[in-house]
Amino acid sequence: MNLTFKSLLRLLRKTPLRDLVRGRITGRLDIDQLLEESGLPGLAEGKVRHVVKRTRLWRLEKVDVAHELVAHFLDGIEADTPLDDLLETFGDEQQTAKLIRRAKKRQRPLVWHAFAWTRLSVLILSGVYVLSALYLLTGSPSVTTDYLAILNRKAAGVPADEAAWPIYREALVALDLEREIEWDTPDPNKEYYVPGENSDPYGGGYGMGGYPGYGYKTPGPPYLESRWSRLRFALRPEKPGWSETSVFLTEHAETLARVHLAAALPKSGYLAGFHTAPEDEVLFGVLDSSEHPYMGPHPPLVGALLSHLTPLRQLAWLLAADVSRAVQAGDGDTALADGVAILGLARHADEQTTLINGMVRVSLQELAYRSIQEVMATRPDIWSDDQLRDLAHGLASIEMAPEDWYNGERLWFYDFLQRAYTDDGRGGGQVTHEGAGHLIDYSGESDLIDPVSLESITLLASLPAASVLVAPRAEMRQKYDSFIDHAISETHQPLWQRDDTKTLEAMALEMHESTMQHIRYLPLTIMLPATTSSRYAIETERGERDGVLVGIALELYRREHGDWPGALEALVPTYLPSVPVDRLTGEPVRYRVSDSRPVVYSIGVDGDDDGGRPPVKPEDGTPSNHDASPSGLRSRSDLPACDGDWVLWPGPREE
Amino acid sequence: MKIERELMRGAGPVAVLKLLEPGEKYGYELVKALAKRSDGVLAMGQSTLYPMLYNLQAKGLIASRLDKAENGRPRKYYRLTGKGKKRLAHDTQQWQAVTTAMGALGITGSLQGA
Repeated sequence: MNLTFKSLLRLLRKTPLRDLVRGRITGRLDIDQLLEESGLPGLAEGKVRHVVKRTRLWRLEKVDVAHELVAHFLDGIEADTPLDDLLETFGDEQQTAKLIRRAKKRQRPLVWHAFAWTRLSVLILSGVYVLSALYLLTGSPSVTTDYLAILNRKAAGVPADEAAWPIYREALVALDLEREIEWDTPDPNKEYYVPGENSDPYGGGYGMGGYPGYGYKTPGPPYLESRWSRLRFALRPEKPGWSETSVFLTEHAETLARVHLAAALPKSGYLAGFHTAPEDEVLFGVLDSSEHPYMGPHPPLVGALLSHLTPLRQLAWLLAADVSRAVQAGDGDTALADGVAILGLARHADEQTTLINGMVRVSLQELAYRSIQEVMATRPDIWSDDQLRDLAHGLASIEMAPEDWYNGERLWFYDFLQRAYTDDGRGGGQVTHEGAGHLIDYSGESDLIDPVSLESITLLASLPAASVLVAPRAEMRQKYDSFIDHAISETHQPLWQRDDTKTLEAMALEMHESTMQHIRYLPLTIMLPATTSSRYAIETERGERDGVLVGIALELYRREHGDWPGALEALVPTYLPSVPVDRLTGEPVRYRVSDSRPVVYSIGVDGDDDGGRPPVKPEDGTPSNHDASPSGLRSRSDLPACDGDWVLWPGPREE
Repeated sequence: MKIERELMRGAGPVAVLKLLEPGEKYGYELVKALAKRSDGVLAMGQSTLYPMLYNLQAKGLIASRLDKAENGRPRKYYRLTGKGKKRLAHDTQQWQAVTTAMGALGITGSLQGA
C-alpha cells in the first residue's frame, strides 16, 4: 500500500500540469523511467541521461530530447551498427547538451523570448546602473571656498572701537530680557490657556509672534515668564502694562544711551559662525550648528548663525517704546536719539548682506519711521527746526542695496553646490551621494542621513538616476544665477511697469509646475529666496520714508508760514528737493488737508483715489485685504480686494 | 575526410534540407543518408544533427511529427515545410554559384574538366 502510494506520488510529480488539468496522470516527465524502459545498453543510457540532464531545459523539452536520442541509439542498434561506433559518433556530451539547449530554446514561444530579452535587458541595464552608482560614489565634493568668510567680509576686522556689537551685548546683558521672573499677576495682554480646558497649551509654541500666551501651561500664580515675554506686548502707551514698561525704560536709560552710542558706530562687527562665540554665550547659550540634525559635523553655510538679529530687533522695539516714553515726558532729545539709534541698528543688521538681513533692516527702518511719525503727530514741538532738518537729511541719505542682498543669497547656493557636486575645475560636476543627502536634509524631509542606514543605501541606489535627472553643476548654477539676475533686474523696474507674469516668483512657479523641470532644478526650488515679497517690502519701506520726508517738510513749512501749504509743490525746493512719486503709479504722491491736518498718500493697490482714506481693518480680526501698500500686492485672492489708500503721512501707528 | 566546423555550419543545413526533399525521415536515417551520400564528408553525430534539426524547426524550415515505428517504438519524423522548400531552392542556387566560382578558381572539380 505504502509502495503504491509512493508510486502514485511519483507519477503525480512527473505528470505535466496540462495532463493533470485534463484528468490524466501520465507520468510522462519521468525520464528515468523512460530510460529504464528503453532497453538501451548501460553506456548509451548513461550518455543520454547525462546529456539530457546537462541541457537544463524545461522538463517537457528534456523528455522530448530523451525520446529522440533513445530512438536514435535504438535505430542504430537495430541497423546493426556497433554500439561503440554509435557512442563514438555521438560527440562530446557537454557540447551536445549545450547545442541542444541553445537550439531547443529557439523553439520556445515568442512570449518566452520577449520575457528573456526583457530580463536580459533589465540585467544589463541594472549592471550598467550599479556600475554607474559605484562610479558616481567615487566622486566626492571638494569644499574649496569659505563662503562664511565672504558672508562676514564686511563685519570682519572691524577695530574694537568701531564695533557696535560688543556694546549691544553689554546692553542686552544689562537689560536681562530673557531672565525668567515670577510675576504675581497675569500679563493683562495675554490669555492664559488652561491645559485641557480652552486650548492646547503647546498650540503655537513658545514665543510665536502674534499669539500671546501660546505655550503657557501654568495659568499661575506665580506666572513664570521672561521679562521680554511681558514687555513685548506692552511697548505702546495704550497697552495694559505700559506703566511697568515705562518704569523699566527709565531705569535703563543709561543702558539705552549706550545703545545710542553703539548705533552711531560704523560697523556692528558681529561675525556669523557655526557656533556661538564664547563671549556671546551669555546671551544665546551654547549653540552649535554641527549638532543640528540637518547640518552634520561640517555645517553648510545655511547653518551659519545669525543670532544677533533677534536681539537687535528687541533693542529697536525697546527704543521705539522709549520714543513713546520720551514724547510723554516731553524729552525731544531722547526721542530723536532713540529714533536715530533704531536706524543705526537697522544698518548694523544689514552687515551680512543676505535677504534675511535686508528684510530685518527694512522692518527696523519702518519702525523708526513710525516712531518719527508718532512724535510729529503728537508732540512735534519737542523737536527744533534744526533737529528736523538734520533728521530729514539723515533719512534722505539712507541708501539700501537690495542687489547686495540678492547677491548674498547666491552664497548659500554656491556653498550648496560645492558640497553637493564634484568639481571638474571648469565649473562643472555631477551630483554626489553627499549632495543627494544634502538635498533631503535641506528640504527638511528627514534628519541627517545615517551613512549606513537604509536611507543612505536608497540614496546610493538613486544616484545614477539623480545624475541624469538633476541638472549638472554648471547648469544648476547658471539657472540659479539667471533667476537672481532677474530678481535684481526687477528691483530696478518701477512697480507701475511691473509684469506680474514675469516675476521671479511666477518663473519659479512655472518651473515648479513642470515635473521634469522641478526635478531637474530641485535644489533651486528648495533654496530660491522669496524675492517678490521682499521687493514689495522694500518698495513699501521706500514709500514710507518718502512720507516721513514730506511730513517733516510740511511741519517746517507750517512753522514758517503758519499754515499747511495748498500743494506739495510749495515745499520744493526749500523744504523738499522734489515731490516724491507714488511708487505704485509713477505719478506724484497725493496731498490734501482734512480737518486742518495734512494727509500725504498713494492711491494704493486698488488704483483708485479714496481721498486719503486708509483701508479698514476689521476689528473682530476677520481676515481681510487691508494693506494698500506695495506689500498688499500679494493680497489674498479669496478675499475682497483692498479698498483704500496707502497713507504715507501721517502713517497709521501699528504695534 | 571530415570538414571544418565552419564549413559544416554552412553546408550541413542545406544537406539536411536536401535529404528531406523527397520525403520525411527520422534522425538516424538522416545520419546514415548523409554519411552514405556524401561519402562520409558530411557525416555528423547526434551532437551536430539534433541541434541542427531543432534550429531548422525553430526557423520553420522543417516540421516534425511523432509516430510509431514498425516495431511500435515512438519515433520523430522530420519533413520539409513550404518555407523550407523555398530556402532549399535558394540555398541550392547559392551553392551552385559558389561551386562554379570555386571551379573557376581551380578549387573544385569543374577545373579538372577544363
